[in-house]
Amino acid sequence: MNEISISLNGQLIQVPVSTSLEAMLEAQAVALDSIALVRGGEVVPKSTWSEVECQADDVIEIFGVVAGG
Amino acid sequence: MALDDKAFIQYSRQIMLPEVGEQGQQKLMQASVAIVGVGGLGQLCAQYLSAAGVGRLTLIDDDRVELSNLPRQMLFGQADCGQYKASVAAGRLKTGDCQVREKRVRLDDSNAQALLFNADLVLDCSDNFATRHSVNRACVALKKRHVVASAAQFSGQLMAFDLNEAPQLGCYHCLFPQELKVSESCSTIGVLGPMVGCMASMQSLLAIKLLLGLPGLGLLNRFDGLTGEMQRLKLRRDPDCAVCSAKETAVEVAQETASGDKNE
Repeated sequence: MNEISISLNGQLIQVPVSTSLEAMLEAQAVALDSIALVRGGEVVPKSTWSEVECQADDVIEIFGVVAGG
Repeated sequence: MALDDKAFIQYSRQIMLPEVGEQGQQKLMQASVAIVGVGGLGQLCAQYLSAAGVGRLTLIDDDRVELSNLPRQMLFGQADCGQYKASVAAGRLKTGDCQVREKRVRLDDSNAQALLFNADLVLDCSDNFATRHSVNRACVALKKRHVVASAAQFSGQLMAFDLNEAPQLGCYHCLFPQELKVSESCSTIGVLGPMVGCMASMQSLLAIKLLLGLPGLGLLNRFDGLTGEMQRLKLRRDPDCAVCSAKETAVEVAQETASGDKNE
């Protein structure tokens, strides 16, 4: 299977071509219900994660909400 | 209306900036800002904005001062413990030119629109996710500009939304949908005073910039207090956002869902 390399929070990982953001996160055992996601410096709305595919050399960061004050 | 001599001297260091000038100072003096939460963030924003000459502040908080607040809420002292934060803060800040109103209530969906209706700008300085969503829903419904800051441990976040000027940025719910799980707040995990102070200072600066009509929209700023790094990320609207994208019915559904959660 063809694989591409992407960066997730600074770690290089391999994913199959045409993997959605959602599938990639699930494969990495990330809790989808507690994070926001940024790809290439831009927020990707959560409702689109199942449709948007990872691209080679994507730089993806995930982080939780900070609610304190 | 020109500034009088005292105002001109008092605000001279601001007026000196070409981005402010006498006109900008007058904009600040005519502005009305609502501050939701008078804790670590809100008490500092209230001080900065009143000192900058903002005309009217509304301080919204139903909490009372506690001993454990004092390391990051320096407007308050030990003698204030047990008093309402909104009242203590209003009492201290009223002495200047700024008109300060206190609202000793907890903002929720039932009162948010009434509380924020008269504000030119809303600062979300609250300390929990549910209140942040109530503030957002009201700001979307009223089309209010809205600056959000938060801090916990060594993480801080800062962003601004304006559905009139920048609908493509969406709203708070586009970035952090209300279903998201949140584990922390300042009451359950630690934070240092200056960490909250950094975020409150940046929130105050952004608020003043927006009141002056300077650019400041579009980015989510993430500050890491341990490394000192600031990340600037582009916000983007969620086309399917239950709060800002669609019709009024979607907003109502979101409000019902939120009030349902609260009753559980």
